[in-house]
Amino acid sequence: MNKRYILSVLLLVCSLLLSWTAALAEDALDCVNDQLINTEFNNGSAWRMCWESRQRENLVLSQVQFKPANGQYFPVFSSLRLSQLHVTYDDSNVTYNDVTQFGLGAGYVRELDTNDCPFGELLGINTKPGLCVTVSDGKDLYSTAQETRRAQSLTLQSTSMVGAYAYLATWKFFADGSIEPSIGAAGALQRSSDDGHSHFGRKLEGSGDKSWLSHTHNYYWRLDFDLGVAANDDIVNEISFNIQDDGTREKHTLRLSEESARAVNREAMTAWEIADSGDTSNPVTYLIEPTNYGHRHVNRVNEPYTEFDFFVTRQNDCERFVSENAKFYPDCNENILEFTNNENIVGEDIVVWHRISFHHVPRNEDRSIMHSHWDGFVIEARNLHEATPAYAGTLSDQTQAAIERVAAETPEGDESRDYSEQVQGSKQSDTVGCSIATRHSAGTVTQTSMSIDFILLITLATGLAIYKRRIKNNASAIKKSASQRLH
Amino acid sequence: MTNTRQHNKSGTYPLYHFTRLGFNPIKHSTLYWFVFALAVLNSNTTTANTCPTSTPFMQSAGQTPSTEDGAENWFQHEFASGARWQLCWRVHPVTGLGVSQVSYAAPGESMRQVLDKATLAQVLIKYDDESQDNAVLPIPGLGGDNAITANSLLCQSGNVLTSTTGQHICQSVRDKNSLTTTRRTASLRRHELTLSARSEVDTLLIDQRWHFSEDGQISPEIQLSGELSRFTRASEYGSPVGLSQVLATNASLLYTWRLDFNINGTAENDLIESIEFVPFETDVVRRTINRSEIETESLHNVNAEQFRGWLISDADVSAGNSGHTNIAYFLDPQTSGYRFVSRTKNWATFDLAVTKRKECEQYPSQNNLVTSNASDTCGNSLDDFVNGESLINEDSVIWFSLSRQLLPKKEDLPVLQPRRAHFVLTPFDWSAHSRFSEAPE
Repeated sequence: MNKRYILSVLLLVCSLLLSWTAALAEDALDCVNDQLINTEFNNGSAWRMCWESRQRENLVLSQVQFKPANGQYFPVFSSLRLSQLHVTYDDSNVTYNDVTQFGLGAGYVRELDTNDCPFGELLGINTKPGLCVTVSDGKDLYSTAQETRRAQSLTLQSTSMVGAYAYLATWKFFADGSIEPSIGAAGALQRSSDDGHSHFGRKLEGSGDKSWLSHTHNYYWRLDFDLGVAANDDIVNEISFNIQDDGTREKHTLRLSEESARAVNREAMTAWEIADSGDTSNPVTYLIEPTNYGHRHVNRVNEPYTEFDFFVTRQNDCERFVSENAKFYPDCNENILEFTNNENIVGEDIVVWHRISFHHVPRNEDRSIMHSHWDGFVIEARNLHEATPAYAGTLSDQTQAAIERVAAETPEGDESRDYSEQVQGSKQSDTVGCSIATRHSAGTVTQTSMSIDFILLITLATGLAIYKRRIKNNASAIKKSASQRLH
Repeated sequence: MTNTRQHNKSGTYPLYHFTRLGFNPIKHSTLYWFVFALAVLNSNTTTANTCPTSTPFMQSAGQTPSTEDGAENWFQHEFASGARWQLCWRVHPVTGLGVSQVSYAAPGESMRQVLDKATLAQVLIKYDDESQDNAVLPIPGLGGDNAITANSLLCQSGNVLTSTTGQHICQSVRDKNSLTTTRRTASLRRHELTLSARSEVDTLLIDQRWHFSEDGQISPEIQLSGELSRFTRASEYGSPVGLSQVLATNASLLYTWRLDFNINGTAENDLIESIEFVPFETDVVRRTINRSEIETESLHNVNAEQFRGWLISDADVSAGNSGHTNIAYFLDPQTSGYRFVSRTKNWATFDLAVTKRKECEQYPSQNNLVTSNASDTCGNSLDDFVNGESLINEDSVIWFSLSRQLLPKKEDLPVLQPRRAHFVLTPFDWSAHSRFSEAPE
């Protein structure tokens, strides 16, 4: 009886939470100055967010939410921005902090025209066209031997002129819930040396005795994840893989429970996942795989934080810039490594910081205009959908058979083996949580994903039925007891 | 506006150009051939305008893939800026879609050859619960019966190219991104031509894509899709996909391309250099450029902290007058964030190898499954090919590998969400200055 009571309470709590989620997601976004972007793709999925241009970062996106086709809006980020942009020339000790020394917004925003935005809509920044919003073909949603299904994507792009450089800050939002931040560096080469034989640069055609200097761009993005209803229940895992003596490759998951600075490991194929712990069975997860990492700018002497590639910190409004932060927030720390000071992040609102380096070697083609070079990474959506988005087919016989074969196997050794993820530091619960949608069991994959409303209805009905039955049982018991007393 | 033409094995490139100028070669045949001969004599290009007749190379023991290997198909595309690509393509019975005789001309410049031949040479798929990897090439292969004939449903964002032998691939041109934007001039766009073909191997689909940008970049790409076929109960080997107690097995992947550069059409005078930027010993901030020529067959790795890349240049030709900026292509391993780990294949743990060209060295592993028409005795793997031979004054071949992993998710059932991997070859001093703007002051 107690178990039933606990179950019914759990289901009611789930129902309330789901109602709250649905209600929250349905609320209009609270954007300043109506700077709302709300785009629904042809397949029914949608993104919505607020945007603004700030003097330092230029484009800052907030309240970023994704809606799967036939689903509800799901909060993904509280805010997104480029947090710092370093330029370090090979001939000097000086690192330029373009975001904090100059700023990418205000007067640095380039006025755009249709050459910059041939297929999109131009929105104003400081009364001039400064943001290009484009909906276009994104990527293949799925491919089969018979067809290719492409999906649309939403691209926001704004250009900042800093010195001779033009930085094209770009955010691409895909129809499967994934995001790709990137930056194009264009414009013109900035610095040269009068020493034509300099080992720090290259002498190019038509530039006399000058050497054009090689340099590194070091981009840092600040990603304030708020997956699902609550801001303080996201968890961050570092995934890595080790080859065993028998040649197999084992996955290791390290839950980051404190503020951390982490480095890539090429051989271990390190990746980081940010998951909504509110859904513990198959959590909605975003994965960052640092595949665009052939360059790493490391300056251990002057900038020790460059030894690391991925940071997770507790959300703090005064921790805004990866470097030169104290210039704007004197009471706060100076740089990202100082932000990362071992504070607990379990049950806290977390912020993820990721960087990419690109070393630019000048070539003749960089003059007089510089052809853009692009750097970015993908934040891959996982488990936001119950099945392959937009795919109407079913499992092939071969896949179905492979699943059934494994499902029928008896695990070696302990039959009560726990198949949940191995998490160091904090073992995940394998109890049923409040997932945003139910999921199929082995061998019975269904293609129709159930909406929150449907689950809510079922959950409420189940809870009410159990509750009603319990009342009825209690009434019977009371009746029986009264009858016994009467007798 | 752009122009695209394709021809099959016939040298009709001059016909196309002169018909654009209003000449009718039928009516003006004498004038046509006279002007054509002059054009050839005055041109700097060494690019042939016909594709070589393919000769069946592969005969396998036990299994015999079709020797109907598909003829080379001549193809040219001209962008509105005047930039042009010219190449031959075919769907090889083993390696699938490959390109050869690849030449590029920046706007206002003559055509110069970049590559003699470029193909995918190996795909390794290693499931985490296995000790050995599974090779896709040369058997089962990506061509022959495993090549999927393109049609309009497959070529969603382009059109179908058809060869005389009935092979179909996809071709598209798209606005890629901004070429540049400056304070004083109008912004410029960059367009991209793509040829692609799909192959089916077991339950997986492998798309080979060859991207050619308006400003001379070549980007080979692989897209993996299809269906999951491997499942496990062991959490150390799998990822949850929403099934009760059953996980989809994780895998690591290795893609290796074989790139035979012939910069400016001359095979024996290409220099391959490793370029890196080495911090001063006493001053770790400043870095100097360090160029070292690769003179013998060898294996190499990415060095991310020293920004290592590889430059393939012509020893004799410069785009300018100074003579110190020879025309070249730069292989920048910016997308090489992962490295394949193997206990059995030494070569697979390296990002790049350079070997002396030999026709019988085609596949970095399982090469012995194929037998050359010639009587060469060839090694079985890239580890055998790399045996210290000199590369000086030889035609060299570059083998470049990218590693990725497959971590399945709910969205991968019933069919995989596509996973992509690509790298970029960038023209380096190919022109004396950007041909998309006025000459620098």
